[in-house]
Amino acid sequence: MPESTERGALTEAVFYILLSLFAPMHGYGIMQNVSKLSNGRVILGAGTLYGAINTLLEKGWIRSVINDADSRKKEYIITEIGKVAVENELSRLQELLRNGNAILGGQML
Amino acid sequence: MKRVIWRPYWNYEKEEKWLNEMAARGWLFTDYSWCRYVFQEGREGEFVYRIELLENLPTHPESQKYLHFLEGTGIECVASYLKWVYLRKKSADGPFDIYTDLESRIAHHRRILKYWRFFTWLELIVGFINLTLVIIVWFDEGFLSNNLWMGILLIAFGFMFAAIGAPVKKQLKRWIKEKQIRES
Repeated sequence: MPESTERGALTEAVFYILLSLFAPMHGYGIMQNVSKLSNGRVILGAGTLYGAINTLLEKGWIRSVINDADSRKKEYIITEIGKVAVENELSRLQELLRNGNAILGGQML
Repeated sequence: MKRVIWRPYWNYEKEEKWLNEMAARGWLFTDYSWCRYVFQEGREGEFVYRIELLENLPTHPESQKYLHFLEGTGIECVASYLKWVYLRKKSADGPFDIYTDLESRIAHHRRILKYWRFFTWLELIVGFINLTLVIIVWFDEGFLSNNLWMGILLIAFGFMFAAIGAPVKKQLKRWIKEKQIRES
């Protein structure tokens, strides 16, 4: 699993797409879910989503689910490598939060 | 009712704005061929329109896959011209932007810049070939005025296409700079 050792920061869109795909979902479902998760703050454009899905498929972070019932709407799900990437990102974000709060915490709250 | 309007556009963002203004007034854009826009009368503001330059021609399998994906998210391709596609989505279905982060916007504008650069170089090269021909033939057989005028015209077109690409490049540079500090 060479990909899982990458430590680069994920984009907001990729992070939310990966979070959405802990349950199988098609493109439109991802867009709606990301909007819901972020209370409407993050709106994913279909072109941006399409590019991200293809990159994530290539990296093996997500895979498509075979769905015979309706072949028109392809569904995707996160892979084990993808889950590791989300976990790494989560601890990176926690570090940012810890440091941010430690410095601003007293003044901001 | 149908309405046909002839109009030249070389800035796709202005063109997009115009299509959306027409849609807001109940004229829904339905077809395009070189500078010719067809509108159908419909419900005011029913659709939001967006224009995109694809990587390949719309008939290419990669483009078909992409347009099929867009369809699944409620986006309809109403017309196309070369690699340009005219897309629309019901405004009731929420906001409509194809690209929502700097990375993908930059990639799209790189494609557009490449598109105008292609025409710039094509016109300049063919223009200079004509002028060279005029000079070569001049000494032996006389003056080719047709090639001279053709050459000048083509080079003028080349500069025109370069001018069209200039604001795209400017915006691209701004976005690339912006991307150093944020992602959307």
